[in-house]
Amino acid sequence: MIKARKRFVLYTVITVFVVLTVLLGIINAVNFTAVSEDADFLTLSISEGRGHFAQGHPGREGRELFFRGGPPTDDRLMGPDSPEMGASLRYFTYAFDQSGTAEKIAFAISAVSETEAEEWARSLLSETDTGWTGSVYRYRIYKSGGKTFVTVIDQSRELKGFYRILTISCIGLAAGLAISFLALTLLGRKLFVPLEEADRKQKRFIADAESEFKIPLTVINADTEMIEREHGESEQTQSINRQVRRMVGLVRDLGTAGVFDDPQAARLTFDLAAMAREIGDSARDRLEARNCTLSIEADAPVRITGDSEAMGTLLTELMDNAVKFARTRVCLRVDSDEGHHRIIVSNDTDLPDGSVDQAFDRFTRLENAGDVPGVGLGLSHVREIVQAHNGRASARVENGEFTVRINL
Amino acid sequence: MKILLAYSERDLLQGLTGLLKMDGHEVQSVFDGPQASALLARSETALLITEEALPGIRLEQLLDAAEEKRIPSVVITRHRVTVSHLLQAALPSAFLPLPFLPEDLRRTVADVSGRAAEARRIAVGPLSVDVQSFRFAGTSVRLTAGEIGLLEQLDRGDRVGGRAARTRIAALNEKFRLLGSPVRIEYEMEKGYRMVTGND
Repeated sequence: MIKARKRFVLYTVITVFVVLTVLLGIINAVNFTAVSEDADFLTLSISEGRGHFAQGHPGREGRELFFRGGPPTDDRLMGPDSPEMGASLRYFTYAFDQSGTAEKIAFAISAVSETEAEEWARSLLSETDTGWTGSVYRYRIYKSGGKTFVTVIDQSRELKGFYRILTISCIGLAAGLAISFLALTLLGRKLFVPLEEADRKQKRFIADAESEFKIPLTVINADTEMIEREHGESEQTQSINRQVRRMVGLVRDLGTAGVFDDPQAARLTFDLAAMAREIGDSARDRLEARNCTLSIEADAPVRITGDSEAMGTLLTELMDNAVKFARTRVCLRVDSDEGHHRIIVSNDTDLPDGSVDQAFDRFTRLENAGDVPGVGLGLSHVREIVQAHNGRASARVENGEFTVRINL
Repeated sequence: MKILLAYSERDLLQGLTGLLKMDGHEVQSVFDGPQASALLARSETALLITEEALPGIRLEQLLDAAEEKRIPSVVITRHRVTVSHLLQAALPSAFLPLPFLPEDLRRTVADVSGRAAEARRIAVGPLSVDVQSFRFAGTSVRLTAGEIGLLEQLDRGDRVGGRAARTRIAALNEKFRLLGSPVRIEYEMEKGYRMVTGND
């Protein structure tokens, strides 16, 4: 359950990261596009003025809007349409004839000299019609009167605003991630505490039920035998014996749940394939009695370090499950691939195709369980063992084949 | 046979006492560690049957006291017997996991007391098992009756299998390793488990 909580926090933080990145990305992209469009509007205006910026005259209405005071209500007064733009725009225009001779058309810039500006304009002749150059400058190339004009305008102020917003976006993204991580970590505890408590209670109930039944069952057994030896067998004592034996079997099944939580379980190095061969082989008689075939592919050694007890239980539970529900065949395979170990157990089935991971839930039996004995704990034990070994378990039905895959 | 039975749960103690007496054994029943310890020291007990967590005494203490007097022991446990159980230093002659049937008790008592009466050794590669003392000869490494039985089965070429056998095999292989023995028990398809030595 702790792993589930960590996964919840991780996936939620990733989701928040993706959403924020996409949103802020869109905002900044739109912002940058607007800056580029405004710059293109200016270079277009200059190109219409044959290299010179024509100042706008907003007219009486515009002047009234401008001098009204208070926050501006008309975009034209704030953007490239502003009547003050001509005074603030820094730019230069050079025209080149077919022989490559340059003519200075306009020069209203302080950052570069006329010579540098000419060389710069010349270097742009082979570029596309419009674009960014020198990181904060926008250029336009256009033809007029047999000459090629190059206009370069300074957009450092406009880009400063863009970069400010971009920086705030990045800081906001990092802060958002940090805050959501902290909030989820703190809230996650509250959210998952009831679930974890329920899971613990279920495990405790199983352990307690298993533990508390053991002594009474043994006492009933012992006392029943003494009654039989003193007074002879009767239908009632035989019935008691039958039911007690049945409960002993159930309690022993429940008892396997405690094995995997033992932190002091011996960790030994052993050959998983050899263990699989033995456990698989031991199921052969049961399968042959039902005219079912068994194939085992576990020839190459697969050495692992872990709880051999638990792995033996895992293989036994997998085989028991396959043997119980197989119609005609069971396959067991154990192999290794680049350090990852695999156990695959499959049997033919009449279940519909699809994922059946719910088979790993405690006390869950699939629709084909019918009258087959069992309480639905076997595969849940399998999952617990796999998780204790940091592995993954999955179950799927495909083309009439029920397959459990374990990756360790 | 004189059996010392120590269990803190009254009903179970009574039930087991009755069963053992009906089987012809002389049974002394106690509820706690100090009583068990005192009787162990005083009387001629042939077999100790005790619960795993007897009040008033640590299990290792009780088992060591029995070991000193060469008294075999059976520990009734609430847990499944795992490899960890079989690798502990203070190892009883047998575990009897709850819940058990009367025949399980009977079989365990017969097995343990029978072996304790056998002055016999079993060769296991370069090692040998002293059956009577339930240990590898000349070492402090103990074995249970179940482990000794499994070694005998392998020696005879019997087919062994199942969870209990796998647990014992894992424990035995670990004990062989601890003793520096080249012997191992390995599984071969269609042949079953067999003892192999070194580079077999």
